[in-house]
Amino acid sequence: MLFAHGYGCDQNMWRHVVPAFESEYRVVLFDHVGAGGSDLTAYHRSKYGSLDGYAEDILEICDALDLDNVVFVGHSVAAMMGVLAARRDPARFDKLVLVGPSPRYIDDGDYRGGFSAEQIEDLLRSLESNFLGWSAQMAPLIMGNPDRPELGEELTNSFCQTDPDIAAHFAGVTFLSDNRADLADVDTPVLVLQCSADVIAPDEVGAFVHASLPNSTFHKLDAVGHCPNLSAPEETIAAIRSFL
Amino acid sequence: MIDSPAPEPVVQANSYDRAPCGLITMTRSGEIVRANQTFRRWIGMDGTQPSVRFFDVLGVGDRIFWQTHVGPLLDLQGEVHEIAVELSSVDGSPLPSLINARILEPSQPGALIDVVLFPAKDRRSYEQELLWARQRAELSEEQARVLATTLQRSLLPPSLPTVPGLDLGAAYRPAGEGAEVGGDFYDIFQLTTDEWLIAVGDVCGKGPEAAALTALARYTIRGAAMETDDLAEVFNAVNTTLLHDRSDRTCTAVVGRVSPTSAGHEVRVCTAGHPLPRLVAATGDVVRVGSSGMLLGAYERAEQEEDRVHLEEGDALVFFTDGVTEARRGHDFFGEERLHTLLESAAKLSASGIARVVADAAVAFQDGNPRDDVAVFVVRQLPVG
Repeated sequence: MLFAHGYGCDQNMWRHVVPAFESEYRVVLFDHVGAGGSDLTAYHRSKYGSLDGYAEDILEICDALDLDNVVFVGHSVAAMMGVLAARRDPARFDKLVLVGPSPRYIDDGDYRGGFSAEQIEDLLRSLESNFLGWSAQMAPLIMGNPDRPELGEELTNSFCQTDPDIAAHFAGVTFLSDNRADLADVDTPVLVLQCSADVIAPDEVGAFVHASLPNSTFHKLDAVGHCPNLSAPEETIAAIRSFL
Repeated sequence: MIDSPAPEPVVQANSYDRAPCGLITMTRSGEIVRANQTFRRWIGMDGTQPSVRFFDVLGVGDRIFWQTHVGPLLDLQGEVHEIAVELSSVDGSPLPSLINARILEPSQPGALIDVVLFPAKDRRSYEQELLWARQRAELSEEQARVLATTLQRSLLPPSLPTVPGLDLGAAYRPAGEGAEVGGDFYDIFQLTTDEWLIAVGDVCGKGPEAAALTALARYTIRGAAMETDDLAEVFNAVNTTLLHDRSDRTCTAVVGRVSPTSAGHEVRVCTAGHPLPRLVAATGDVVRVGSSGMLLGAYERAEQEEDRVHLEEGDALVFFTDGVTEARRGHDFFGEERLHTLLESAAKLSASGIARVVADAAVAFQDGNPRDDVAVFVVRQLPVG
């Protein structure tokens, strides 16, 4: 099982879920380049200017670790990265679990993604005002010692703390992405996990994903919000387990 | 003695409601289960609404930020500090605030979150101004870089001409990150139907003033070389021009006048305080060409001597600036020995191959961050006939 975290934080997002599968599955966790303990010097705007760059990394991980019959579990924007990876190399993947997926966040004609383009601008402003804590003193500590994560842990609010330029770029790539057309090409069995009252990926978006995928199962969680892996790990685990 | 009981509980209830900050308790999904008067007044909660969700009084951006960052952070650390948000206040105006929050019993599904909100209008506008100042500074830096690169490009030929029988190559690497225009230049232009003049020079200093002088030196060489066949006279013209210019800057340069011969080409070389060009024979032998004359712009009369060198098939003449030989790493200079070893091994390359190898080696010697400009110009004899 390969777990991919979404926009915002790092592989820590899976810490309540992963232990349930460790005895039965080989579990692989990673941080996207630009997030968590990844090598920030490997972040190239051109490569990570679309979700394809991230999908490429997922396939590279599969390749490097020689993974087959992969169960890919992707949260938030990583759900679409998994869709893109499975579209490119279907033979790798046995099943996909998409937690709170959205193929497009911005409304478009009849499609309701939940956001307007102006609201995404608003998000970028929120990011800007909240990265004041990423001071010049702090950045080298986190960035310069990827092999010594304990240095980062000592800093308050450091979890989820990303280089502001990368965070803004990743936010733009995430919230301006449009992968609706890719869904139809994925024949892999997919579980769509839809949260309740999710402001980021609302019900109708989950329903759209389910309807667009040729081979998918839809499961609505009672869990409220966008991160059931944190707020309702038991329910999330049970849903994944019954699908597998 | 009779103690009258202190009216403590009343005071406490009032302090909660009247605290000079917003106090709320909410569920993970943002349903406000308790809020003090201060907060209710800010957002216009008068108790008649059925229920207000905390996320409803946040802007959309803050809502996403909360879901993707703050929520997970609370869950992991139990607390968050100084999170900047904007509340929509009762009169519709945004109320910038800072939030501290603590989650009680994060492992419980019905866990509650205590939130303290401080209005931070002044602080936020100050921070906003700092942010704008930084953005402006970054923009100016970028503009300066573009200006420097554009100016620099104007000091070098946009492309090298095609000269029958000769292979030409050039490489230029600006000092530092290219934010400042340097004083190195190279040039090649036609004198007669089959004669050409090569010039490589270095005006001391950097920046716009050095750039202006570089252009002056380059065009004085061009003008003078059309007038006289005597290379020392060309330098004399540059010397006079620089002396008349009000800046105290000096310039070093080397020129080569190239004419065809039956076996290849002859190059008459004249040097003014500049590193001597190297003749790299087809066999790999490397020798200095010419003798160092006086630099330009310092003395009333500059004196230089001319030397001749013959290029036969495969021979290359390599002009360069001191950015190559004086490239430093700690106390160590790139130096002539390294240059000669490099040229011996590069003897079989094309002119542009040699130029690139030399410039790249000088830059790599300084860990990719050259402290001075590096210019290299190479002319190589092609097979005759």
